[in-house]
Amino acid sequence: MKRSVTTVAGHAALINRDDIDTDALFPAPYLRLTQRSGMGRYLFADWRADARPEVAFMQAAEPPRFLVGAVNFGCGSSREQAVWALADYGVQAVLAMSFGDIFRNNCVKNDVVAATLSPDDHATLVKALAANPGAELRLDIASRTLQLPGDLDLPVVLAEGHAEQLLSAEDHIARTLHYTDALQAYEDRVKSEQPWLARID
Amino acid sequence: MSTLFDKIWDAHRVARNDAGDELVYIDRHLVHEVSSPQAFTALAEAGRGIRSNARHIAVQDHNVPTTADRLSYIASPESAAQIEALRGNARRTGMRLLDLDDARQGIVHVVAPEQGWVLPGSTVACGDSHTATLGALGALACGVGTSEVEHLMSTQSLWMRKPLTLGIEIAGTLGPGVYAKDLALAVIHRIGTGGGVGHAIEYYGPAVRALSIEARLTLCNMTIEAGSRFGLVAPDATTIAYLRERVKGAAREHFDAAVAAWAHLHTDDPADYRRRVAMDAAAVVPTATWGTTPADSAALTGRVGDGTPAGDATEQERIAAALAYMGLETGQAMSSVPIDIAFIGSCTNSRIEDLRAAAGIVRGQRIAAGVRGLVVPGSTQVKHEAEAEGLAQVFVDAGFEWRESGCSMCIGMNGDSVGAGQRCASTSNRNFENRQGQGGRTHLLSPAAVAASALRGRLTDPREVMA
Repeated sequence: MKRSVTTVAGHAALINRDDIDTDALFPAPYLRLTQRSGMGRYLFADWRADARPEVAFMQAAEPPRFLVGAVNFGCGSSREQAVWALADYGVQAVLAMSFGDIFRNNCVKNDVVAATLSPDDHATLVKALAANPGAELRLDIASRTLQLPGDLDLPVVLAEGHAEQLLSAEDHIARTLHYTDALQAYEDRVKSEQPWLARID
Repeated sequence: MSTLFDKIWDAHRVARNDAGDELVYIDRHLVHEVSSPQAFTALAEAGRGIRSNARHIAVQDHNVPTTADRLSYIASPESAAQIEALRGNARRTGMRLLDLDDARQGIVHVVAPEQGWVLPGSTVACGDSHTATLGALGALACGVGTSEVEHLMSTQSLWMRKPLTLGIEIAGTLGPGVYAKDLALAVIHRIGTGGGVGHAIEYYGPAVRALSIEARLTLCNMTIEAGSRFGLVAPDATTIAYLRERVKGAAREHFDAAVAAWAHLHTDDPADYRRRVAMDAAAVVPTATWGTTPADSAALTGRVGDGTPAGDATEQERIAAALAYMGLETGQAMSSVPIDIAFIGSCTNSRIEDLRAAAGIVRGQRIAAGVRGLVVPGSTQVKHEAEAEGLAQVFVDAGFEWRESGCSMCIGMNGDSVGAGQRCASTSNRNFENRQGQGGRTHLLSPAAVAASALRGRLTDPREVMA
């Protein structure tokens, strides 16, 4: 059931590395599973098997609410399992300087916030987390503001339309079904003007 | 004045919301067994149906074994279950399915153009990031996640923010032994793995015009590796000739009218692109990756790390980790890197032209002792064509395994995978850590270069073997 997402609050884990791809977030062998739930146990499965320092945070009992990446986070494969795994594990927001476009769309569909920071603000956040790894962060969707301890506010950017989707309590298909007449009009027009597009033969 | 991308997008815009997102009608939806099961389940649970069944078609590819006995036996129960799930979902919803025994079966991005399903000026989506491949025919084609697959089945549309456009002009001519794959790697090296984020890339210029449709498919395929969801090439006489012999049904019946309608499908003025990058095909050489992103590449006659900027501390750390994973050192000659496996296949490079190029290299020779060679045609049709032309025999005589079609060792879901510590010269598209199998090391190359590397047992410039 779609819920309205207004704020995310909690501590953060930092993976300060560019190009964290979705193969790393959710390795291919587990793509054979056909369910959507319970995917958190496969998050970074290969990296955890290799005891990689980037994912040492996953040994803690309490999952971070925020994951902080760097540039081009979530690039590569379109697999939505990467986001299902993050959400199931407990991550509610990913902060980075840029994202793979498909990954960012997958995030919003699952009520995970994907917010970008400027390089300067990212550096400020990384420094703050280095000084205080357990720091509590608070992200407010409506104002696009990330609060750090010590009354420091950083502006974040969401993809256009994503804030509205997060704040809405209506699911994405229900919202689109309001446009059924427009979809029908397109189909009618194609049928008469471009019949070659109307079906796959 | 507008770009090719703008023209197709605008023609498919159904609505726009207050947030500035646009509802884009999707003419064709391609479905495969990995990214669809949860979408079918969610639709059924919500009591929703498929809006327009004639616009969807399902193809089994990622999990499909490439062994001859695959119709009677699938070793992995999980793969068998996923293949069976798509069968059940297709049966239940009435969606057309190319199953394992269908003469048209193959990798969805190989099959769709081969069957004439992708037309200029159309919009295409699929739950697979390499859907950008299909932009080679002058279509807007993009990869989507499973929630969007569900949305697409239910509404035949997607909400998207219109991307900016990036025009990549490629002048000159590719030299002998240099292929579209080398060009794609050169583009990614130039603009970076995130260089296309938020943009649709249109490839244009004399070098692009000179490419066959198969080569354009290869070029557009790798667009996602530069961060862009869409790669496209304007339709031209080459496109029309390719489609004329493939389209069926309504597209065949109305072909002349369609061709007339496609005449406006081009960018009016290069100044219409939001950004532009200029490249010269004559400067592109046979290339291979040495690291763990497709941007980490160098000339096969060069050295590991050539032409890669030192970058900041984060980038230096990333490169050090990539080299450690790959078991290589900066400055090492690319041609000194030994290989264990040579893989020719994937939606990037498994078409008949790719197999012809590779067979041309290995004809009459044997692959090096200790190297496992694997040729996996992109579709059953390609397989039959290659067998009829005698290419299959060339590969078999050279010591390669000749397989049934599927995604195979590109992603390693079907049992074909690279073992830990093994090094693979691969025609696929991703050299991410663990991509072809846990601990496997992947080098991306053109089919000719993989063939040359198989013969020598080390990464090899195909011109060395052709000479």
